[in-house]
Amino acid sequence: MSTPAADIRDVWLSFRGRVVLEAVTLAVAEGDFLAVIGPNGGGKTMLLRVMLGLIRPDRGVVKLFGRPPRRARGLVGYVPQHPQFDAGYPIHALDVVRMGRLAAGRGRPADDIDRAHAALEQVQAGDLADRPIGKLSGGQLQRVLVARALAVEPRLLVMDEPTASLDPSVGLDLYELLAGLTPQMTIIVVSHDVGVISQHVRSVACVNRRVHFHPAGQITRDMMEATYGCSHDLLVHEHTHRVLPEHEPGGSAS
Amino acid sequence: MMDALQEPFFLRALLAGLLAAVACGIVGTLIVVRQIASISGGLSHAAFGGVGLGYLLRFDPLLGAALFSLGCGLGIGAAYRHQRTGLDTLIAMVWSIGMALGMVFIALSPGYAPDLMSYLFGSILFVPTSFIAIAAGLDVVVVVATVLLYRRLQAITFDEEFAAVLGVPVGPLFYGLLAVIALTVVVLIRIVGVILAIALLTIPAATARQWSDDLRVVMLIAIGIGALCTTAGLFLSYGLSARLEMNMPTGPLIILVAATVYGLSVIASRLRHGREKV
Repeated sequence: MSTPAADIRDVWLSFRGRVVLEAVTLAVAEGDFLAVIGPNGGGKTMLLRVMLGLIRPDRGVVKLFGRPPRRARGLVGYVPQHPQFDAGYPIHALDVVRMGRLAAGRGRPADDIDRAHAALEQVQAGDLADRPIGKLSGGQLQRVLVARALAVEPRLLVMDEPTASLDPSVGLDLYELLAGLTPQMTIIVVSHDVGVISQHVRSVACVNRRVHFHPAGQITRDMMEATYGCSHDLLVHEHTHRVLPEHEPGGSAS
Repeated sequence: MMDALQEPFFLRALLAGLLAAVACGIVGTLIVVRQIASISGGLSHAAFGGVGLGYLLRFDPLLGAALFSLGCGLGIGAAYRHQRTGLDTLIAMVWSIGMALGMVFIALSPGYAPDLMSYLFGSILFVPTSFIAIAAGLDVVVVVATVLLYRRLQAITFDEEFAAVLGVPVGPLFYGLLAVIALTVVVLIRIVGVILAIALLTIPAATARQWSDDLRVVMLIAIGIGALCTTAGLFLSYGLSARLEMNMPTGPLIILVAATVYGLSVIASRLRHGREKV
């Protein structure tokens, strides 16, 4: 078997005195399209942050393409769930997307601009290039952030609920787009939208402190039972099932 | 009033103001967009401890200011990066402890400190030629670093987390930025003093922000506004002193000019944008 795009071995993480990840082992093969699902507060975002090297785990080893995350930078594109920046920052959408080109080192500026435009076109946001970031709607901003991650031209694309505020009327089928990028690109996406992702993803990881990996293609009813069976908290389990189909608005960082 | 231009001290002051405006416009813009004005205020007040140490141990108070400002800048930077909670309180403590140390050191110094006020409110009219060289040197460092690292500085001030994922050396750049802020603060102490330095770092940049959504353009406008304010403040001070025989401190006048420009800019940008953003 070739080197996995992401290889996580026996990772433990505590946050504010609470264990959020417990003995997590997960190998994501190159070219995979993996959905990360699980209840809010189950550790999905923490798992991504550990994977990206933004948080160091208490124990365990994380490797991206066989290297520590810090050495794999430039191979990874990331779309955060909650943007960390200030909407008042003086910057246009194109310059935000162009930021993705920084990973490529010192490219020719004209080339970087072309690629940034192309990435915006990919998410049907070409017309937003000259818009200041503060004048974008939530859905527009989200598309710009997806474009920024695509502009990296990464081998691994990690997205935390990228469709949370996407406007359906734009007609952008993000998952369709993502599916088209595999298998050249490995994609890991956190989502609550089980119905939609089940059409496109190749494998599923259920995160609820522990991680259960399912390489199968379809999310079957049995599998859902099995994955949420890993839930230690039956209330959370019930809650999740009930809320899932309706798209949880915002919610706390999970 | 043009006779002012015949005076070497006035020309030196004018030049010092213009040079300070360059560093101030660029560094101030980064401070404003990154929202670390309180850190910068903390540094300038902490620097007063160094001024006092300079008096006590008989070395250049501005050197003491530089040491204190740099030390506190890197210390606050480390706290900022590793534990964000309580940062506000830490800055408030550094801010006031610096002032307290400064006053105690000066009290311990033999004799009294005749130009103490000049460190609190600046003394642009009495800048020595060596200071012009320091300000020019700082400008060169700031301009060259900003041109070379522009995209990276933009990335770390806009979205540190994404920059880190890209492999941008966020830590070194952030500490570098704080070091440059610390040194800019020291130059400003000479011009408008410990207490007013923060105003000259923030007001021109905040005014410029109202007129552009492009970081580079904001920097350039901020430089222009800074230059306008120091120059207008100087002429105002000179005019009031020469004509009306009033002894007007220049530093505070520069700040009041800046505040006026900001106020007018708010009104003008409101009129231009209709009811939109402030």
